[in-house]
Amino acid sequence: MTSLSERLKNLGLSKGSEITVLAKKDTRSLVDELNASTITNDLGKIIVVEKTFPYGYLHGDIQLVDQIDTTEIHKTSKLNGINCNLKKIAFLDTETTGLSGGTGTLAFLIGVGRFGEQGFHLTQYILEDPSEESSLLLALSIYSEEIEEIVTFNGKSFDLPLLKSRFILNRMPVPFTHLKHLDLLHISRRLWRQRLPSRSLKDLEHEILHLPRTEEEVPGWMIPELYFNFLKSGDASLIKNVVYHNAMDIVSLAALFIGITQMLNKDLFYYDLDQMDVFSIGQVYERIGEYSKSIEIYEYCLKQSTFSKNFMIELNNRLGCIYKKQSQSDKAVNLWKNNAENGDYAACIELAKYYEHEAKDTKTALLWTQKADIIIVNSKISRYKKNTQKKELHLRRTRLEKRINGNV
Amino acid sequence: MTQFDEFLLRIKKYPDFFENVAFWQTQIAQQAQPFPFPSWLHNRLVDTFNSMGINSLYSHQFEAINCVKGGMNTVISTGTASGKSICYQIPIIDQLIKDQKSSAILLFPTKALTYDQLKSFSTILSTGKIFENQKSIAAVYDGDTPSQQRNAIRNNSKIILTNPDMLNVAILPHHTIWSEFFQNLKYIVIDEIHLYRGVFGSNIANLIRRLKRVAVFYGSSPRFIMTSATIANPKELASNLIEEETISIEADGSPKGEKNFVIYNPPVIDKDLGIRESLLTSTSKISELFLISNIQTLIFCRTRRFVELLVREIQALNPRSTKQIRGYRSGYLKKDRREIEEGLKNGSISLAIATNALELGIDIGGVDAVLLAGYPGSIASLHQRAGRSGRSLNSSVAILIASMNPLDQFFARNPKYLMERPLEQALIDANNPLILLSHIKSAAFELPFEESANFGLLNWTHLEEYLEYLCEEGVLQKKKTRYYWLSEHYPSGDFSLRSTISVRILLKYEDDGVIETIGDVDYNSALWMTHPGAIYLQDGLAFYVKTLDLEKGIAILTKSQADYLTEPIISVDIDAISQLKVKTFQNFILQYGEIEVTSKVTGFKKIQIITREILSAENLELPENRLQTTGFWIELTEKCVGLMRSKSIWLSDPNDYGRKWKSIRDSVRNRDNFTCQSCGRGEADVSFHVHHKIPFKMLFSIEEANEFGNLVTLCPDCHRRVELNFKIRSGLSGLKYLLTNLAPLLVLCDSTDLGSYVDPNAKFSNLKPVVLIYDSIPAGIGLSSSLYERIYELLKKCRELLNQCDCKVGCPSCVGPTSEVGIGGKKETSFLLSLLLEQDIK
Repeated sequence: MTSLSERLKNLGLSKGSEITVLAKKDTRSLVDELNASTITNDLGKIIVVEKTFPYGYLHGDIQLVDQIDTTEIHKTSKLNGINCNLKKIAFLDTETTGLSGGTGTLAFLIGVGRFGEQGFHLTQYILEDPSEESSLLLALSIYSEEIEEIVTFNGKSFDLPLLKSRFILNRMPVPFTHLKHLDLLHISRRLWRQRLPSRSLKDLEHEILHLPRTEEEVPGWMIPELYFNFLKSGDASLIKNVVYHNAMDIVSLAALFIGITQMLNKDLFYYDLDQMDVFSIGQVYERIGEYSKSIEIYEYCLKQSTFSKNFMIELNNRLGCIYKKQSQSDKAVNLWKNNAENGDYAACIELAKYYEHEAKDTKTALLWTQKADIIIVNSKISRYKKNTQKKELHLRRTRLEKRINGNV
Repeated sequence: MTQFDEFLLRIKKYPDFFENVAFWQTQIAQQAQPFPFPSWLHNRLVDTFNSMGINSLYSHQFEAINCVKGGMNTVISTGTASGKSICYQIPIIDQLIKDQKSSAILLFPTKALTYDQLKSFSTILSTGKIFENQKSIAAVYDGDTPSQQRNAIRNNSKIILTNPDMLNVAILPHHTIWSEFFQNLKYIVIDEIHLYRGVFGSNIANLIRRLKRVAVFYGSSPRFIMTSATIANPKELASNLIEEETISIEADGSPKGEKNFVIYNPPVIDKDLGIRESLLTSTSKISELFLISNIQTLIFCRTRRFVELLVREIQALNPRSTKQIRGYRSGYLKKDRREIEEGLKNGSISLAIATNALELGIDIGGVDAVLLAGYPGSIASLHQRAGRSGRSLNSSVAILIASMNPLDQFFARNPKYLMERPLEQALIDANNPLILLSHIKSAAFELPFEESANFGLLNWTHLEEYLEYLCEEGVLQKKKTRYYWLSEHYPSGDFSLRSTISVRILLKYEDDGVIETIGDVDYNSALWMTHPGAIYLQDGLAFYVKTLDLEKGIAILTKSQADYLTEPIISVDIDAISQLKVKTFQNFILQYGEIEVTSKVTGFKKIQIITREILSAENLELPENRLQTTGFWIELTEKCVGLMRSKSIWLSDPNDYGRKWKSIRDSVRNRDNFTCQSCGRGEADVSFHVHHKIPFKMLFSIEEANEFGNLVTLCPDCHRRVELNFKIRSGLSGLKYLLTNLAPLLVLCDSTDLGSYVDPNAKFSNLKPVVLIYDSIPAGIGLSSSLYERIYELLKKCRELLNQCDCKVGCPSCVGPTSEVGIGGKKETSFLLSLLLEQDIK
């Protein structure tokens, strides 16, 4: 009888890379290697690493503080603008066996951090054996009992759904469904979309916090493989750097949270902020409908000379739209005219609309459509987009022309 | 008399048409006996159907919903348009009214069908206003569903319509986000199960194993409702797919209008070669009769290419009505397809020419007439297509236009087989190792395997082997009593449900420096279809293959202006690994077992398109291809060979070798030094024979046959042996051709699903003459196993066709064309068949 492996080979199956069986090294245990402790709960045992970063500790440019007003960051993230007690917030990040998601992806390290009595207190739960997952999850549930809010980076689409899935698979209640969740990825994207080419936590750490990592750091893509190899060989040293990586991620998350909160709380115009960031903050407020604040910021930006032509156009348009919504057409018209002179199609259309519907000046409206027409012809946008714009413009023009001819 | 009936009378009187009609059967209209809605059915649902004008059920519907209600898994295999959908719609909606949490999942083989069914559900739900939020109750969840809608569908919809691929790749591996849906899962509907055969079916069976495993995790035990076209074994197929006891409902209680079924056999234009008028010509001629009389007609073609050819041909013949003549196949834009479907419904299109894309239940209302250009490959499919004719209960006609293929000709002569319940079985093998392995990976990803668990009907002993193998491979790790998926891979994304071969070669067409992908072929086919120098045909266009890079998986094609086609030269070697079953008869030994087929494309021939002349042959260096599979083979006994030898005299017709034969013969003997070129014996008292290497009757002219290179001196003994070997080879080849071509009568399969091989001295079978038929899928899928068991039936069908064929020496419609060495011995094949069927081998 041939073995299954031979049979499959004969059927043409090429085996994935033959794994080298890692020799069981007679190394130190996970607890010793990580300087960890083992805790037990109703469902079993779990390994925990704990560490405290005292208040005043500098993480890159950011100093850890024990109090901060979180009203603005909550408001701009559309989480009722309340000042949540900083000490009730858990900063969470997981290390997993893959990025593809689905029920076959495991979170083998769950790290959580909180501001406590002595400073920022970090707790990392580590799964030594997948069969002990339920006690890991229970540990997180118990931890969550004193929490009102979770802060993550990309947790909305990754960490939290994954953890939820793990709880369901272990037939346990999901402990965080009632908690507020603030995903820093989203606000970071809005704040630095225009200034930075990438908004990953790693890049923000570098660009915003100005923090270097030590040689203990491992790149994220290596982490699943290190864990698999640890499970196969029992070599706990493989996990050490993963624990460092996770710890740094969480402290950076907390630091970023403090950084953004401070940015929003400060008086923007006297504080030494990148002008682009000021403009972005204006957009953040525009998005949540706080127009008075965004008008204030945009008007301030208009007076700066640091913006390129393209940004000025965007600025004028944004401001114009807000003025239009607030029925301050005269202000809007000036801004649009500025843009139109700089060859902006959208502004011409806005002007045409304004003259047709509000000023009831059909002839001027027609002039603006003609100007828009010239802009399109010379613009370098995709042909598809060009055609739709042309069609739209054509409708507007014929309507206006009809009206003029009718009146004559 | 209606206009349509008059039309039928007219064509019956039209000699050019009617004299080629091989069969005409009129099935008289059938009334339906109404059955009341059962009393357990919720009032609101009954009211809904009443207001839709449905006041009663057909017998099979009544029976089906009662079976389902009784908690039984049910398969309904009644005719096309017999109202099968109601059989699952009623139980699902009824259940939902009684328990608003209950859910159901419905699997359809194509996306188009899914959307059609959604429309049907929506109509019932909106007519009845049964639920407050009726809009979100039923929803399609497939690859086209926008991602921003998916969350809402998962949370709110109770009736999910999807396809197997989506279940495999997106739903099962993420079952936790469907936890509420699975907790309340009451029904699983699998539509059109006759399509789930072979590799596809074996994959579906494993997919169901996974689905049931997930359902069990959430504590639900859903029932199955399945539908099928009419095949030989719906009950068996259904219970193989779901691995549970299933009730089969086959008696069709729906009313039928008068139906005419006609077989048209195109006229023979070359009697000796057995060549008939081409399918293209016959089909376009007949379609014209319909077009002129304004009878709305749907033509089914076997390939997309044929659709295009026929559209062009018919439009050219009817330039004034080109707008009413439309093609329909996959590859057309969705918008165009909707337009054609609409045109068929409202009558603005009078002739649609389609592939099987229109075969499954897309709603086109029903046309007056259906033409089938060639037998579609299975009786189930023929019934489906023919069933497209008949608007409500009006009379209709379906015409099968027979091609030259043996199966078509078999039916032209034996139409009764088309009218009876078909013999063709849909076979699957859920435990095919390669298919199984992929699904065990996915299942382990979905939920860890527990020690001593099973996977469907696969018990722990076997399952453990696979799990241990996957541990060795490093994707699973066993911790305590469980096997955990510990790999970054997403296993469901790694394979296709529709074929076993995952490596595909992309075909890139290069034109003026611009490269565009025009399709793909699987790795094995690439070796013989797109080797360097090959002429590759697609959609009626010829391409020249410039390079084939097997590592990168790319073939570069350019435009071909050549006046030749290419034919690969393939050397095949067979090894029998183990003989699993054997039956011994006087004249042959029938064996079944595991074999290894090693094939290698060693070169190719260039063949002139018109004259079929071989222009040249070239060598190729390509890797060999090994296939381990299952097959059955017929080994002729010593006695059988003896009988063939003793009869070999009457088998040879005297040939007229030409006036100069005597002198040619003498000079060949002289050239060969009057010595037998086989055994080396010299001539003594009798002069030796001169043998034609390529048989005389296979060559076009006497001159060609008598060329020196084709002649060799042999002693009478050797000559007889060589001739006999040749005759046996001819007989075996003819038999091989018949067996492979008629196999689809018994098992549902495509011509590419079976491979075949003949050898007068087979190394793997005692150096005896052998004909071998095997599954062309690694490890086999049960085709040859079933044929082994039913060999008597199959051989009888072969003899039936052979005896009925009018050709003289063999033709493409029986033993194969007479163009190649060792093929086309009609007499030899016929004699061999009589020997094989001599005793009762039942």
